[in-house]
Amino acid sequence: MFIELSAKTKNLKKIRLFSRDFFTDLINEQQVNYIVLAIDEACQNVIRYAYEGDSDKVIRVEVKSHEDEFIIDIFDQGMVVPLGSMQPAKKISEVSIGGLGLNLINKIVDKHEFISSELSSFNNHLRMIYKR
Amino acid sequence: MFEIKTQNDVKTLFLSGEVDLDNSPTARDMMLSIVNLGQAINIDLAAVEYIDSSGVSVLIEALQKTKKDNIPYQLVNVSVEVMGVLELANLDNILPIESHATTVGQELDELDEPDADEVGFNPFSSMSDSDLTTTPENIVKSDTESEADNTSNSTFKNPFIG
Repeated sequence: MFIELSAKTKNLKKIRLFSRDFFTDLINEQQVNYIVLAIDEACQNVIRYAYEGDSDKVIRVEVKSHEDEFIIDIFDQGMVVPLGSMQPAKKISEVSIGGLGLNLINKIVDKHEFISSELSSFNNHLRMIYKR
Repeated sequence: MFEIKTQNDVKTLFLSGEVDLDNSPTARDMMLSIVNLGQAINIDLAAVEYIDSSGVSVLIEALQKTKKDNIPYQLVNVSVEVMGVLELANLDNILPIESHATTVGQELDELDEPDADEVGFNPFSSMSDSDLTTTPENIVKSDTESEADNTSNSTFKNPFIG
């Protein structure tokens, strides 16, 4: 399942609703809310950094359920990010206010990395994996 | 809708609903409107159903500014949902949390009847009428509802019930 929306902050709520609807009944409520938070944080980063604010450019969120894990893919059309980057700070004391989102993602999902985008209309593809 | 209310010379910023990148700038502006005047501030989070890093950043920035200027600052009635995020971020021991709910049951406990052996106990006896009213001039409101609010309105479930 996927959702594509313009990268506006008001659309983050729609992305959360979409995500929550997908994961509810698959995992418990606490897990659902953590995953929704991780997706929200990743999309925030697209708006803030890839697009530098509200944009008519698109964010695409895909979610897939596998036997032992969920795969969440975030696609954006911003400047190309080096593959494999996105290293969070190791201590909360090192985290600036702007890095808190990345730290939350790191705590919630089991793995996240930028990989080559297979969708021609998108430059960047962030994959997050959450193990059941 | 976020509100500022004044009681006993302390301004309380009431946040509510979902505090995210869309409306956290408004929350920040309202927080700064209090802190920049050097006034004691409480941030009430009882009605917050969701908060992300941008919302948490407002709470952190309030701490930074109030510490610098030695201004009293507390988070009050922190909802279960918000506590979950603060704990995840290891901020629950850093932010000045004055009160919080740990479960939905605890939130409901506040409505419990007094003990039977407390004869004649009136839970409101210590409160004056002025504690229960807020004059219009003490309320500052901000409508932060976005277009997305008009779309599907699924109920946000408590994430911390097992």
